[in-house]
Amino acid sequence: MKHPRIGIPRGLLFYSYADLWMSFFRDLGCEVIASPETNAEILKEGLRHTVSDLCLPVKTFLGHVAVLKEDVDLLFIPRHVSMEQESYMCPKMIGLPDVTRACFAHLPQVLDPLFHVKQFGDKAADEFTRPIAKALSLSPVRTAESFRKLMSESFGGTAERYRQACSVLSEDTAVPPASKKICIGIIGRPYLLFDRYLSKNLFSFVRKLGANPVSLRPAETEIREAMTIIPKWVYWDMGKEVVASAHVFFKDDRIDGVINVCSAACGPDSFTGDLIRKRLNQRNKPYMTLSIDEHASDAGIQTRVEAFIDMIAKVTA
Amino acid sequence: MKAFLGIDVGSVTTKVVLIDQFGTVLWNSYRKTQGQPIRALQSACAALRQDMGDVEIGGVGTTGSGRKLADHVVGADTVKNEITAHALSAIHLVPNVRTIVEIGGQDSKLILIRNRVVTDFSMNTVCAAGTGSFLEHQATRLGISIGELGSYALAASSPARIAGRCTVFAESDMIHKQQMGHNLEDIVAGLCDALVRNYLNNLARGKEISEPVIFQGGVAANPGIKASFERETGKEFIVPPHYPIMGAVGVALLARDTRCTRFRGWSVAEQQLSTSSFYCGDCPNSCGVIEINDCDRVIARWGDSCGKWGAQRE
Repeated sequence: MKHPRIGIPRGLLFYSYADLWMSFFRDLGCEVIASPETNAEILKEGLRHTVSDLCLPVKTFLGHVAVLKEDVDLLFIPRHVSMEQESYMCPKMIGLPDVTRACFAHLPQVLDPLFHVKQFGDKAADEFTRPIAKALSLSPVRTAESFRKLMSESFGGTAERYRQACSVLSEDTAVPPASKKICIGIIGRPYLLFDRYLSKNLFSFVRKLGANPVSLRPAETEIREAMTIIPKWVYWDMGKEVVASAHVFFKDDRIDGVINVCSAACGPDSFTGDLIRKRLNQRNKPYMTLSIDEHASDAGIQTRVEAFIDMIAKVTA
Repeated sequence: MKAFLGIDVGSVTTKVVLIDQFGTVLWNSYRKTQGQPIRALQSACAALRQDMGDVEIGGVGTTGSGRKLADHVVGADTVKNEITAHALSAIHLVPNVRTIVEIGGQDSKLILIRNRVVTDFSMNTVCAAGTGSFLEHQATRLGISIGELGSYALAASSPARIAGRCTVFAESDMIHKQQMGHNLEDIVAGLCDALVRNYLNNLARGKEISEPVIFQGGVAANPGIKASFERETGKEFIVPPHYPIMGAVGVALLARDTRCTRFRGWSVAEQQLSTSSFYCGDCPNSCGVIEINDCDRVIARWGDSCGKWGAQRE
């Protein structure tokens, strides 16, 4: 294929690596399109094509595949296994290309390169780009170089640095300087937090209630520090970042309370949620878990968030 | 003297209270919403007017899952979530309250309070297994009224063990227990235990229930549930006199701070209000938009996630 059209479903790791993936394919001379932001139609398509045991973000991802598949030559669904030594993606994410193939009868070619630092170490980027080069009839060496170059623009360029290449999409969520408003630290996996449809517009809702929503990507040092407080290294990729963000927010005096947004059927989140509550919240800051699934109503989420902010504002005092 | 109106439009019942500036309940009404919240609210207002005359209203508060609807119908000064509303009324009544257990028709809450401030809370998720509608459904199935459940439960000698995690399973388990020969009293008591276990597992997990505990919401009417809670936790559960209307009292208390009320006046009881809905087709979200009409005039619209229909209200 000379100039194939590559489709990337706007779900799951898209929210972490979109910038990198899009620039990578564009540099290779491809046309890349992403599915639109999640909406009711996409979620409906996802639910139609899926089995009930999957979590909401995976169901939503399949909805994005459904709306994208007719318009592209190749579907890019990478198989991320480990982003660094002693760290794993959740099994549903590891099996994502297989899950996708199982749920659809007709799909364009699925490009599912493997990213596996645990197995390939520093060669992970080369292994990752090899099948891409093959599918696009490009030189494997040049394709790998192009990928490394993009990574090294902001990071060291080693395979493990790929994990840190993620950018937080769409929301302006830094701690505002010297604000008198209540600041709510919002933690959770990027693909839930920054998918405005799934997270029921949480950031703008918090803002509407007169508080500042704040989110962050923890630095490597902050992750290491958080891991020393809990009994065991969190080996779930992303789960580790969620735990570390909680730690940073609990420490930060400017943050009045923390909301953990998780998906109802998420295994790793049920572990990390408990760790955060029991081990990290040593100063007893207001902390709440918002569990989201396809049945969650906007009203239910809004009632909880309103009550949480009332609690911080000490409305009943 | 001005009085303050508190309205709690819940999923199953609609509560309206009138309080004075000290928080004393002057009048109250508790009626089934029966899927028609506007009608329930209007008939409560008509009854209030009949009993109390044209009371001068100093402020109006609304709460419950239908709080926005109630606001559009009567014109509210404060629209508050149920958790804050329940906490306010319990603290007003028992200033040193530390735990509030509230079980209503479709949802249940646990609120922890220290020094008059809410410190933590939890609410059931979509499943209504541990709530009033679950109890009512099972009572109907057993052929007894919801009001009789408590006395049956208290008369039990050996409560049957019933799975309460899910209404569907609870029902098949109850049928199984009936066919095994357990008597009605033991089954009803088992049902109360199942509801309490469900509540404690889902809402109270990892949270400390410390005294004084206030038990409010419609389900507090059932002494069998109160007894189950006390047996299971070893704590005393206080049921306040106005247990089913505490949410409405809470927002009425809050409405006392109103300077100039938005209350539409007692004519709200007679307005010809109707609702209609449509799906907006302008984007793939196809939100269901709801309108309230006063004769031919649209007085409120909501339900759209972008807010453009809501903004058009006259």
